[in-house]
Amino acid sequence: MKKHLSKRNVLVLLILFTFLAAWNRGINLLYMMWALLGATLVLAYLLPRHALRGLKASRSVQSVAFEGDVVDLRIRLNNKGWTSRHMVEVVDALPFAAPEAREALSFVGDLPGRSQRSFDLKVECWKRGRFRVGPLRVQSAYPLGIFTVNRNMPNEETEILVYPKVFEVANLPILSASHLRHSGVEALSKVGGGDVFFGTREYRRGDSLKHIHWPSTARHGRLITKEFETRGSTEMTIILDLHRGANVGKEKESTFEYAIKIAASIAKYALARGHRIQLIAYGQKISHIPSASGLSHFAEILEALAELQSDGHLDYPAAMTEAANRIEDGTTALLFFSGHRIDKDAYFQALDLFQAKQVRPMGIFLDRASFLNHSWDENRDATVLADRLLSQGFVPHWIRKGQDLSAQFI
Amino acid sequence: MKTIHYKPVYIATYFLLLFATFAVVTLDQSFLRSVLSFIFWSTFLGLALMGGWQYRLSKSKTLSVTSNLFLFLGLLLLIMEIRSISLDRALVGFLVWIQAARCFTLSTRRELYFSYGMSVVLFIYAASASEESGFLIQIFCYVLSGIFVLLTDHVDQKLSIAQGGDRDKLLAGGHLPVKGWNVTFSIVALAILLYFLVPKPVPAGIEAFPSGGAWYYSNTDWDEEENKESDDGSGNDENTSGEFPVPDDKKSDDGPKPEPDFLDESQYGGFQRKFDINQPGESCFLNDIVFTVRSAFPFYARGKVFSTFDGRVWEDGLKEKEDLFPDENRFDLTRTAWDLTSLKVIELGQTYRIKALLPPLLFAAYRPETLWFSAKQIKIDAHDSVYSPAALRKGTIYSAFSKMQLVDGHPSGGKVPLPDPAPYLQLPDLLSSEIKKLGETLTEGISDPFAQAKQIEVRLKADYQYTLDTVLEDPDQNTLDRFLFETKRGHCEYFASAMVVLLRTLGIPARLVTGYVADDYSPITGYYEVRRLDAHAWVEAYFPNYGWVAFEPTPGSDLPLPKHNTLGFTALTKYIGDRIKTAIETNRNAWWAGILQSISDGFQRTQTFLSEVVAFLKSLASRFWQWFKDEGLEHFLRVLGFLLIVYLVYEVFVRFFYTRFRWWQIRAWREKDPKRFVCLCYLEMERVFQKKGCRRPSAFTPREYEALLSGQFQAAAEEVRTLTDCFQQARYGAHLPEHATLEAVSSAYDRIRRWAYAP
Repeated sequence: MKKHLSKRNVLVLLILFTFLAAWNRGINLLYMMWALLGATLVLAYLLPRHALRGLKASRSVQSVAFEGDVVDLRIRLNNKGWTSRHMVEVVDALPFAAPEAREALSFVGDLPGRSQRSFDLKVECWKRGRFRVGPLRVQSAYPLGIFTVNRNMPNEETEILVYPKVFEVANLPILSASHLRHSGVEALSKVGGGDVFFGTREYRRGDSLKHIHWPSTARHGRLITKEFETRGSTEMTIILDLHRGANVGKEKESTFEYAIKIAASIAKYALARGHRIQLIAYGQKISHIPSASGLSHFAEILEALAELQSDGHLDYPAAMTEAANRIEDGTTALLFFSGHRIDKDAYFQALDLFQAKQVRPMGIFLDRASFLNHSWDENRDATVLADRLLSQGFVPHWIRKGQDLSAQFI
Repeated sequence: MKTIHYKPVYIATYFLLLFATFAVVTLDQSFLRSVLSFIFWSTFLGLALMGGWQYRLSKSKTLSVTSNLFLFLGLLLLIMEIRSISLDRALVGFLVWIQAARCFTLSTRRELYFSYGMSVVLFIYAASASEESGFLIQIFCYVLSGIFVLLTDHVDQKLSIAQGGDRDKLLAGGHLPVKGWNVTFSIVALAILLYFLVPKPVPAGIEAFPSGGAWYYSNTDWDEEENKESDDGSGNDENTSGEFPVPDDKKSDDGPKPEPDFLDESQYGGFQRKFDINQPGESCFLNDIVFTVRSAFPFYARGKVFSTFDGRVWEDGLKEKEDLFPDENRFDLTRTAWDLTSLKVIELGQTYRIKALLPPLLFAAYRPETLWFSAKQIKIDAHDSVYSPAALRKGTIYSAFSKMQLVDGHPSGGKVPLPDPAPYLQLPDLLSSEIKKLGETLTEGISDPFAQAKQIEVRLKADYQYTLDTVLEDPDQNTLDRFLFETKRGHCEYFASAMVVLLRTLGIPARLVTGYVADDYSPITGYYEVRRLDAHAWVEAYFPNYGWVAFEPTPGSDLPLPKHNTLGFTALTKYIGDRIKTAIETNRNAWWAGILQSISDGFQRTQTFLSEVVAFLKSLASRFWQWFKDEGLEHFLRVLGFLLIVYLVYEVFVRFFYTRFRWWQIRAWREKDPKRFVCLCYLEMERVFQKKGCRRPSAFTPREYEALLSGQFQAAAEEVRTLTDCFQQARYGAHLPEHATLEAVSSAYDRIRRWAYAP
């Protein structure tokens, strides 16, 4: 009903009514009113068309930003016509902005003929992702707002990559999986860290000849090689759950968006301390950023995290199992449990596999109930998993919707 | 609810509401009251909307209470007024109060739209009720403020969602981003064009007819009138002077001052019982409107009929009047059945609005069948003249429904019997023999009575001159003789009386009719405006086959035809022309009369010139059409046939022979020079698509052209690709095209050719 009750429809109805009334009674004053209203309608239809003639608009915007940043859009309007253009609207489609600001409208009251105007538009990057900005369109409903005419500006579509928001992780002990692990010593990434002698064994094809323990070889008459223990692996693997069902909540307040933020922040924290990070996620396609360290790698991780979508069908235990093949023994895995379809056996099996590879699971438990705004306890099964991790000596992190994430990692 | 942000919205709303309110509250009000109303409402609405602006910011309780207080006041007024004035007026007054009261808390767009809706209702009511041309100015003001409202509302809407540009500047400054004059001018100019050039259909009149009311005429009025008539002391209802009854205080010099709304000397003499044709009254020179009438076409509003003539004074000759009683204000005037002849019956509804005191006659077009009039009783005489109980007061509204037939362009009341024709054949005692002879002379050789009447009408119009000067001249006894044989000039009463007498000398029953000519259509109000100077006398002659038929012997006057004027422009030019003419005639001595006359002459000349141009074009078109019907059609068909044959030959040749011939030519190269064959096929393909509107741009490579064609002509994409591939090979490759390639080229080109020339 509201849709049909537009100014245009009301005016058309009024015109019809005045005409019918004038015709029925032959009242000339009503005919005059009809003529005035009709003229208004005709000009309201024609003038916006004229208002857009010779108008060009362009926009420039930075190509990369972080979620929460305010970006400046510079909009230029050029009137190539000889006469002034009034009440010109410039509308830009900004999918990275908050829902209410995604159709950003700028209103220019008067643009004289043969002139140019520029102005800035400040927009907050509300959401991470890779976005196509635009189309940029100029529109006008001059002068009465009854008919709106709009025209898209060609070649005014650009891309912006919005990285996920990164919060400050104050402290997150990334423990070694070596023999020192129970002592609670944090692993450090140092050159030559893997030189602790562990024992000897028979030579296997492919072993380096420089590790052959020649005295034992001579003693046994066959090749015996030395074995070294890795000293506190400094690699962390982030395994994200991209299953559609795992993502609950809306827009930014969803489990997946929280997971992305946490992953990005922990990655930054770890890389800042010289650790190596790899990222594995099974969505529609497999996203795998191999292990590496350094600032450029952080950019790579951020870019990948910016673009990830929860569009997969692979259950998280299966994803963990798949990912296990790509994880070095003795490293740390950052796991996200969103409470979706908790098959304890499958999870335990995956965790067993991790244990077998001496991979340390760091569990982030996303409180599904809070994201669904449910009051009942939906996290019972997840609690079992948390208990399992706890029993292995790893403290799980519980994340609720609206929680201050940086406070969680002090 | 969306709040209003933009200050000019309030200013625009102020003007809109003010004009709507003003239009309603000043309906039928005097100038002074209108001015006072304007001052009151402009102040009140201004304060209310200022309050609304404050309320938007503060949500003040005081303003909310004030608004409710005025709403309550409006309700009280409604209850009080509903007893004293009509329901619709009371409701409209209530709406005015409501909208004004709500302005104190007007802060959201929804409330704003409510106000706009209310103002539209009020204004349409005012427009439908007003009959003043001046209301047009109010319409302009209202619609223009409506445009202002739409403009500011649009800006407000945009500013409420805008994030950049001039948003802050406009909100802070509160000014309009455009100069609205060009928009206003464009709208007004276009509206005037639409108004004058768009034809207006004949009014449907659904639920629009009849109208009546404003004054009620009780039987006491009858009695008072009769008492006035018999106040001459004789007790006889015949007034010896033959004048309409006037109170004693009017007649006596030393009595009290007359009532301001009583009949005076300015009334037309032809509505009295006795009518001296030398003294029609001052009304011939008075330009004020006596009544307006709404009808589908112009007509003669018949008032009184006279049958007895003594050479100078007419008398109605009737003493008997029949009483008529209503059925809910509806009077049936049909005393004799409508005798249908072969002539078409034309129906006409009329609604009269009396603007000045008029004699107790109910004017109506030929022949009134039904009358809607607020009275307990009316009277009708044998001449179908209808009488009201008292003089028609200003503000009286009544409707009449008439039926007429046109006898050779002359209105008639239909075929009715005439049992006693003697009163209509009576001649003045002192009638000269020249007049008797004149009738015979004018109709010499014509035996048909109707043709004789027409002949007299035509001759009087042609041989005599109309003037109002004779009204002021000192009359003598031999008025008609002097008019017919000496001066040959006079006013309408001379012409009508002369024709009646001439008809009677020929033995044709005839009578003189007085009334008003309602042909002055105001294109602004849509009413026919009838002025005092439109009082007129004309002739009715009786023919057994047709009944009483109207004739118009006065030069410059034509019997109005039932033709609806659809174009406002034509009506406007006529209206302006008539107004100028009247102004000049009634103010001959004024200093501006000469200037106006020059303007009028210039206007007339332009109009004549344009009419001649139009007439010339019409005659040209007519001659062309005649030629076309006689000879042109044959030539046209011949040329058309020839062109058709040429076209068919061309189509057959191009589609069938030429393409095949060309293909045969190209195929000849297949064995001789395969490379050339492939290139020719490619060029032919280019030619085909060029014809289809897709010429290969000079900078395009074959591949780019292929992409272009594939995009536009998907049906031929495969063939285009094949031809392009083979062309590239043949043109730039080192080897001669293989047999398979040539086959592929042949078939691809053939398919393109067939596809392109498919019917």
